[in-house]
Amino acid sequence: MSPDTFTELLQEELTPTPDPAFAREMDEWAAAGFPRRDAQQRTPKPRRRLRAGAWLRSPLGMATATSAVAAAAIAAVLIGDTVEQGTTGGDATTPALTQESAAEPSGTASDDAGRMVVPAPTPGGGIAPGERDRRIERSAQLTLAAPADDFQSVADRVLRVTDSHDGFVLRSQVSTGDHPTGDFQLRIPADRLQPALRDLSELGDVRARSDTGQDVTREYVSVTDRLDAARAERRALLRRLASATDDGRIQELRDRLDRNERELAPLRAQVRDLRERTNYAAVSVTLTEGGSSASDDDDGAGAGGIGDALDDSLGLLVGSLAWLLRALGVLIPAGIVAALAWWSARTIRRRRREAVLF
Amino acid sequence: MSEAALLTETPVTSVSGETFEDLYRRAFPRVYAYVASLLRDTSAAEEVTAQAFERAYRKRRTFKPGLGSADAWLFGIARNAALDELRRLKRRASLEAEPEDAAAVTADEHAERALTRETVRAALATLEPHERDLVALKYSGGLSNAEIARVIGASESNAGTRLHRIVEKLRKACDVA
Repeated sequence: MSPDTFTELLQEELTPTPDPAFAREMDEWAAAGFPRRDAQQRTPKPRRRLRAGAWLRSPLGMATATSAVAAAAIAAVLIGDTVEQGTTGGDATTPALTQESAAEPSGTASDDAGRMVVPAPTPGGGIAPGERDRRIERSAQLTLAAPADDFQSVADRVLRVTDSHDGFVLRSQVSTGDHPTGDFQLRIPADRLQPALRDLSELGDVRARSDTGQDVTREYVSVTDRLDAARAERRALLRRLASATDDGRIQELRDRLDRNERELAPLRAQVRDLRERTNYAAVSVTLTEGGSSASDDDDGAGAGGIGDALDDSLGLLVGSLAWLLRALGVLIPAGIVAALAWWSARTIRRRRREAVLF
Repeated sequence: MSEAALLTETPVTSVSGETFEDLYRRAFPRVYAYVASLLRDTSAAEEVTAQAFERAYRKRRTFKPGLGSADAWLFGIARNAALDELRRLKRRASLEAEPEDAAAVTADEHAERALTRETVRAALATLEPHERDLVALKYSGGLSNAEIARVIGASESNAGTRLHRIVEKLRKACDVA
């Protein structure tokens, strides 16, 4: 067979012509603008209801479901990290202190006669296992700038704010003149620290702010345990002394009581000191010259107002960018997973379709 | 007007710079020939051909010129419809279901040519379905290797190589000089 004949016959065999009636019917359908064909003309097919299972098996369904699962998983991890970070350190321990610190502003020996107050656990308050309560020694430093013509007034307001939060001024030093300065050592009840800092921050331009906390619970528990033991020993010695009749025995017991007292005194002092350090936060406020004048505060067009507005705008912008980055951190991986799922589903669908050829 | 613009701006139909009706009239005989060659059943071929054009008409706005020619797009839809039909029927084409051929052997045809035609038919019958699919796309559909590659989801070189092997197989079976 010649190549030309082969090709000619191959072409003829593979180009069957349609039945004239069918061709005419199709032409009429095309001329009519391709209306939907009558249901009777269509090959009867099993009715395909849009069931969830069928949709999920489609490429779009698989992609959507996969991306939703991926996005949820990523978001759960991010939220978990955020919650974990929010509950460690910082103010989470403050609620644990509020329930008992108000009753013991100054730890005297007579206060120690009763047993320690054991506050109820607070959510996130974190009473450590095995510890009776937590003691956090808190401190804060705040640097405020105040205009020279308002300096004394701001200094006075520092004292008023301290007093309004049931705190006291341990030490203060204010010097006016060409370069006024102020330095305050305050003691604020630990449960009022944050509100006090907020109020103090509003007195001037905040140039620096920090607050720290140190957990001294173990030290406190150790000291109080030793104190309890010493007290128990003292009570026992006193009972024995009351029933002693022998002079030698009486003297021995008195000597032991003396030694016990020498042991008790410093322990009481340590507990008192720890309580004071943890019941009250040490706040250091430094006043410097600078910032907007008080008279400008009421004027929204003042430099301070514009500066605050700019700060707020910048803060909002940074916050928005941070949110956007977090959203992208979820959307991009979810999108990649969805794309992979869509491509896989499409490939599977194609191969399933073509399987009939093999 | 660009293909994409025609596609989106002409209210009724528009595919690849021509109306859908133009595409239909140009491609209908080839689409039917391809489907019939693959299914080897006249009534099924007619139904699938109609389905293919209906689907293509409904999806005409999904055609993206940058992804290939209108013919490749149309034959892709037709191929899917034909494969769905094959799966539905769950049967392979048999020699007994050969479609009627207007160019069938007539009594007046030279005997040698008749014998030659039978040889070619027998050779075609030995093809596997996936081989027949490629040959039909080429000879029935009149598609280029690039268009065939687009339809079957392979590279152009892969499609060309496979097609060449199939044709060589046929030529050998037909003892082509």
